[in-house]
Amino acid sequence: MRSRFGAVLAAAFVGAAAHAGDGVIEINQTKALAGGVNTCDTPGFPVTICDKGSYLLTSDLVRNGSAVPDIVVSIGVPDVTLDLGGHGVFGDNVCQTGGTFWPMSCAYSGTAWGAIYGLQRTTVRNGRVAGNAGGVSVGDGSTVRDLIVSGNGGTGLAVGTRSIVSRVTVTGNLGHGVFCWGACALEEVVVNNNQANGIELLGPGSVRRATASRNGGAGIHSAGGAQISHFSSLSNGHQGVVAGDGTVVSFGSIRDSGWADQTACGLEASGGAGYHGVVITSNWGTNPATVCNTGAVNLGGNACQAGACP
Amino acid sequence: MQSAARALAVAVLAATAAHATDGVIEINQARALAGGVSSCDGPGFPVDLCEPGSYRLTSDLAHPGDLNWVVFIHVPGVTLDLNGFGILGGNTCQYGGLGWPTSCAASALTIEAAIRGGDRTTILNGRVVGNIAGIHVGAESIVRDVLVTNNGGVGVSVGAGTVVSGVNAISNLGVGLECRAGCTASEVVATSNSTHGIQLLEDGSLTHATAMSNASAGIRVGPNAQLSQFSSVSNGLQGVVAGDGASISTGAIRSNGWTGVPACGLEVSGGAGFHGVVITSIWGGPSATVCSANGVNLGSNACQGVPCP
Repeated sequence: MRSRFGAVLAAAFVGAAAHAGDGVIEINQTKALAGGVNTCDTPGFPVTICDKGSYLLTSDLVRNGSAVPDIVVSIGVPDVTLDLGGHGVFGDNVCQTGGTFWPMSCAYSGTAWGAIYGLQRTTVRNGRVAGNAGGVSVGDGSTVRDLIVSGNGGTGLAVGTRSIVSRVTVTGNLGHGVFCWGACALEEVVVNNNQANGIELLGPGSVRRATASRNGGAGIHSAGGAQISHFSSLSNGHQGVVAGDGTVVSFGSIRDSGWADQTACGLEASGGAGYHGVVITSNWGTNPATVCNTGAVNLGGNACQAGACP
Repeated sequence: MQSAARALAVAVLAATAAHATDGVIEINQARALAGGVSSCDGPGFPVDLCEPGSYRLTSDLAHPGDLNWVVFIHVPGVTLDLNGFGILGGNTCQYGGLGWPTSCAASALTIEAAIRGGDRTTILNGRVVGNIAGIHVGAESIVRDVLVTNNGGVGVSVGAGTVVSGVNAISNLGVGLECRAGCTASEVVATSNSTHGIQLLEDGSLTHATAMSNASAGIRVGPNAQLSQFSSVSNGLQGVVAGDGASISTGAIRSNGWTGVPACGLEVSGGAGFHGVVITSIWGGPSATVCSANGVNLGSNACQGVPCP
């Protein structure tokens, strides 16, 4: 009687741990260490996902004491949703700031991969990624929402082109805060105290409702053809905003840029980029709080140190 | 033997009640009163959370209204999903003739709040009503989809680098929403609070904001902040106050200065710029216009039907 009762109980537990009733596959620390989350997953880290579908963290994943492997959750197929369920992927990485606002070194420095690594059309949402060798890295066409990414030894959040990023706060990482490989849409973003650029757009795309403060590189950096609006960029190491060819920059505040490079401008714009409704004040060092303009267009309604912008 | 099996089953059921199958730790009124929600939690309020992780309300948490804390989160890295429920206290406030609370039976001094959390806290999806104060969380947090009303202190207070989205702060005896440095806030409504409606102390971005009938300024942003797509109406003092280097754009400011203390529609300083702002119909004091100490009119602004100074 007792053994039958126990067997029923055990079976119920195993079933509940593996799959939620809605078909979502659950991942937790115990399952990660045991292996078998997927057909290709072996004991220990990384948790390897090789089947498309929806996955849910049901506990924090903690991987302390080693930078190897960099990856804690490795998603080897496209079209996977990973809901962190309010939990986190945590390591014990420690970074030093060395008297700057941003980290200068970490116990573990990341490679190009993140603690969460995914391919095309990956969704990652609702949780935290902190203290790892790297943060989150996903492929083209991905969606990243409601994440707190901090204190990792590499780029905080790297996404492929055609990705959407919203409601993320990315701070204190040893690399860029948010890095997009092409055309992305970023909205409701905080990128503070990262070692390189706060936001780096390698292609066109849109950045809206963003705060970029005290990053070691530029606050917001776009290669060209981007739209940057409704932003604040304060006390970054280099430029407040770099607007590549054809970028439009509007409705933002840029202040106290050039902490690390005192020749940096508040706004550096080139190749027909336009700017409108931008307020630039109080740079550090020799360069005035202004626009460094190589073929860019003042669209009007801008102020540089309380005067007209060039 | 049978009783042992039954005891085991009861224990399992209890564990199931504490942890949903998705690993989220559930909090409800019964568990709050019983204690044991986390390892440091004793019976009754506050519910103490001392382990990082994910927590979810499965009922309202009700109390008389004078508690310093209802949920006290002692560690960083906690997600608290109110799950559509609320933290409902019995605090009562008195309201003056102008609409905002003038006193409450219980009021906060500094750090009291119905929900108090550390850095990297996520609070979402519910109501905080009738407490000593609303929500207070540390840096790099996320707060979204919360209604915070009729509390005896600040409605929502967040640390630096926080993302705030979908906050409705009404009739609190303090600031409706307050952020320290470097926050991004959007979709915020702050009405009838007893000091400022919304306050960003330094830099950061505030968009899609409505501030109405607050006792002091409708919106107050510090140096280098960005404010856009806003409406600030019928507040006790200024419609908007913007610090050095701030950027203000695309907003309506109307009928501020209800308290009768001389106040401008828009007060800017130190190179702050404004564009696309329409200011009308101030009560008392200066006219419906801009008070500028070295602020910059970036164009396309209207003050009482004519170009702004």
